[in-house]
Amino acid sequence: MKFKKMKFYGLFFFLFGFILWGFLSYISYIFLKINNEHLSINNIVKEQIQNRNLYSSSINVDYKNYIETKYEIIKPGILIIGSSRIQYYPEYLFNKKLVIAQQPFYSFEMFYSSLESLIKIHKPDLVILGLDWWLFNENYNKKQSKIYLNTLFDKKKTLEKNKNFLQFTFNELVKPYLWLLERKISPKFFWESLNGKKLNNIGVMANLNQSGYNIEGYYSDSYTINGRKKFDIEFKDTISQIQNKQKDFSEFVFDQNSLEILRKINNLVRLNKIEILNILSPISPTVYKELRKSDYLKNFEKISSELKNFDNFYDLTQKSYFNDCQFLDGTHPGEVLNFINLKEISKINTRIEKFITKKIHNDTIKNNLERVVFKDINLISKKENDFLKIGCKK
Amino acid sequence: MLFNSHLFIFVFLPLFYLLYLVIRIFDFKFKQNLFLGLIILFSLFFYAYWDYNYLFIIIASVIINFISIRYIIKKNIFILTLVIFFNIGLLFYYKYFDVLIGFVTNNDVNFNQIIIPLGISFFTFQQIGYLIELYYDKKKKLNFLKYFAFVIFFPQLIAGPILKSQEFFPKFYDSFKDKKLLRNLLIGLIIFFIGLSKKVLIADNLSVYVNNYYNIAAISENLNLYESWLASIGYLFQLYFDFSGYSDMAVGIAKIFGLNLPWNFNSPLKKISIQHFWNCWHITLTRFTTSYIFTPIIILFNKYNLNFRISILFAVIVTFTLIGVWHGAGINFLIFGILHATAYLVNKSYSFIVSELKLKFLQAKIFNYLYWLITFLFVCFSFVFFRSENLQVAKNIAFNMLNFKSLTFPAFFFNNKYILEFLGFFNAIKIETYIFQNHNFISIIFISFLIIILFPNTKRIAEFIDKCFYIEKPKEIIKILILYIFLFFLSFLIIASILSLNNEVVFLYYQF
Repeated sequence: MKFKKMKFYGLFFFLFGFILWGFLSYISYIFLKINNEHLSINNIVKEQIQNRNLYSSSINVDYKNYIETKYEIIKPGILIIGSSRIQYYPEYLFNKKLVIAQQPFYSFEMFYSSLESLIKIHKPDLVILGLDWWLFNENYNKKQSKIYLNTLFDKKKTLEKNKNFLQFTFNELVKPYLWLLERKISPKFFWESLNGKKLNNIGVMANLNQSGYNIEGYYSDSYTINGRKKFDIEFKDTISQIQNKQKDFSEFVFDQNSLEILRKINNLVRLNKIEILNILSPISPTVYKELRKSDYLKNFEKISSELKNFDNFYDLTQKSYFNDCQFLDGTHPGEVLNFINLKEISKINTRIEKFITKKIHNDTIKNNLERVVFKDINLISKKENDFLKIGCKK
Repeated sequence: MLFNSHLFIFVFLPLFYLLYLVIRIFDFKFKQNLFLGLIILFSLFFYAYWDYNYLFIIIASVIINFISIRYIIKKNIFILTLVIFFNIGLLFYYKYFDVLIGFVTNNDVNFNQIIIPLGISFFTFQQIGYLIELYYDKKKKLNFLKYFAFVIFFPQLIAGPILKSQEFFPKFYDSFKDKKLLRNLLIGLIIFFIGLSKKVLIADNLSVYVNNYYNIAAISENLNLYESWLASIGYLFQLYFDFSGYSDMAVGIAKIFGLNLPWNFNSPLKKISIQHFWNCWHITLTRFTTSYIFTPIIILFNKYNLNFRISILFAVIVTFTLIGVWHGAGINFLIFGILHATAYLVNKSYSFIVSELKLKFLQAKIFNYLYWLITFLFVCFSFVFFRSENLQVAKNIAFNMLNFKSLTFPAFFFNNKYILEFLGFFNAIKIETYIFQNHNFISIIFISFLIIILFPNTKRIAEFIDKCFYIEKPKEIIKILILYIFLFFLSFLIIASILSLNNEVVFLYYQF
């Protein structure tokens, strides 16, 4: 090979690489843009208010600002704070405007700081606090919550304006290819997106699964309820976690500090003359039985006994009227059960009654007793099937 | 200004290079001085862009040191001592004064009340080194313009490499006559982008996870054996890719202008002894401390006919302690220095025993793997003291690195009750469910490890590319193929690095 040729080939390889990598990056950008991943938080909220579309992103995870921005615009009468276990409260269950501040709250410290900043923006009339057992677990609080906290809040505030190609980072642009490799998205979806398929939702995952957050924070989960998610069929995944003491069911040591912070949260709300409900969220009957069998239930009982002196505390871990078909998985209750629970609470606490809709009658409840979402009321209700494969009549 | 910023890469550096070309093209008497002036101007802007309030400190430091030159060349030891004390005093004030006040007034030590001017250690060391050399060799005298440019040359101003004057002059003039303009530009840019990708693609991604673990260690003792090691290895790799990335970028920028700055790293994490490690880690600092701390102590002991071995012992302890304390005022930095001094002495003694007792089998190549492992594990362990914000954090991690009672295994691994029963006799075993949750962190550590172990370092890559320019009739097809693969891969590094610039993260060594 002559030197001139060698130089030519060298330059060719470099330029070829440059064009190839540049092209792949640009393709990725186009894909993300079509899926509305380039939108700024302000524009995500604007879009959702105007078009009522869903939002679920793996790129734009500035949840804190997302919640604060929409909270400031909506100025809700009801604020629900908690983990994913409180994300199935649609606004039509209530008489007032609703915002669910779900996602970045992984510890009571975060509950407190978020609530404090949200109350400064606007005072709601009612705060519903979704309590999870792991928030009272010292092992979880010492380690996991801090990891999540730092991961989520280390991020800079996202831009006011939409992102252009050069404002995407390499880590973001490489994600679509990783999703393809991990089979999270199909080549077909990738190709159709690039070919200009009309995608209304915000975020790749929202468009792919037709699932995501509504503007009030309610999670439209058609991906789960029509059986595509294939998680926790017959509650096997949750039961396995309990048996192996995995994830949220890991070794439990009651954290006294959590109790103090919860007390602080309640005082903060009361000082601002806001009604509060402290709810220990429901667990499916089958999973509850497993908890009893594995002796993990004592931890729930410990939490319940520590909280019994709290005003407006409701232990909804297990009630006689629960059935497995009302759950999305072992630990996530659907909107039907959430509504039944609210009605039950309002029987004891009449001050809550005024917040709950009267448009959903007892007959409607009766017709939906084995469902997750209300038939004909919820737009995704037709998609619901026996996704847990436990013989539910849908 | 950060090297890893759009402003530097797309505006500052191209503009500086353009002006350099313009000055080169025209032939006039003062062109070299004009370029020196340009270096000073751009370097001052580069420095002031961070915080212009500290500009006067660096200018004052340069002027005061320069004034002393006229006395030092007359062998005035008093002035030399005085100006060294001035430099150390300046360094001491900014790095240790608030800590000292805290101790004296018995208040809680409040670090970082006084903000340390950027790069103060580096421009101070460079000036001290120059003045001492000048004392022994007055031919090294520089005029003000040259001296100012030598101290403030922006590629090495903030975090080294610490230069000797002969590495800047007369090479500076030679480079001006260097006709291999394109070659210098290409090699310089290649080195720069390798350094940039080390920083933005590896170090910055590791930092997210490392910071998490260290934050957890700061609030609890809850890290287990596995997590503690992961945090310490992660940090060592982060620091290596961050600092060597910065140094590569500095070398690359200088190379664009035909200047060959000394390499600061030479695959230190592949070394099989602590002695070799320090010869290849932050090389210019090791060179500085060897020349101006270690050797003078040995000479002093020798002068008074004191025991040679004791002089080595004393010199090693003092040198490493000062290296440790230079990095920070906390007691953890002192421990870092003492640990390395101890390891260095153990290493020396071992080599001595092996050679004295003629234990040749211990020098067999197979043992090198063991020596490497010991060195690597020790370095990981010691850098916990370097990273931790205080002794308590360092203790939390270091203790758990050695605490086999916190040995945990992933639940999925021991999901079988028979295995659990079998292992039941071993009290230490715990089943941890959150273990191996950070797959990304482990992946980045694994990739970093492969790069460290399998790939040649930037110095060797630059030498390889340089040699390729000399190939007249290439016969070595494999080398050519490697070059092509490298160029293909380089284009990826450039694009990925530039796209990663949106997330500007400062270099770790900016704090020193």
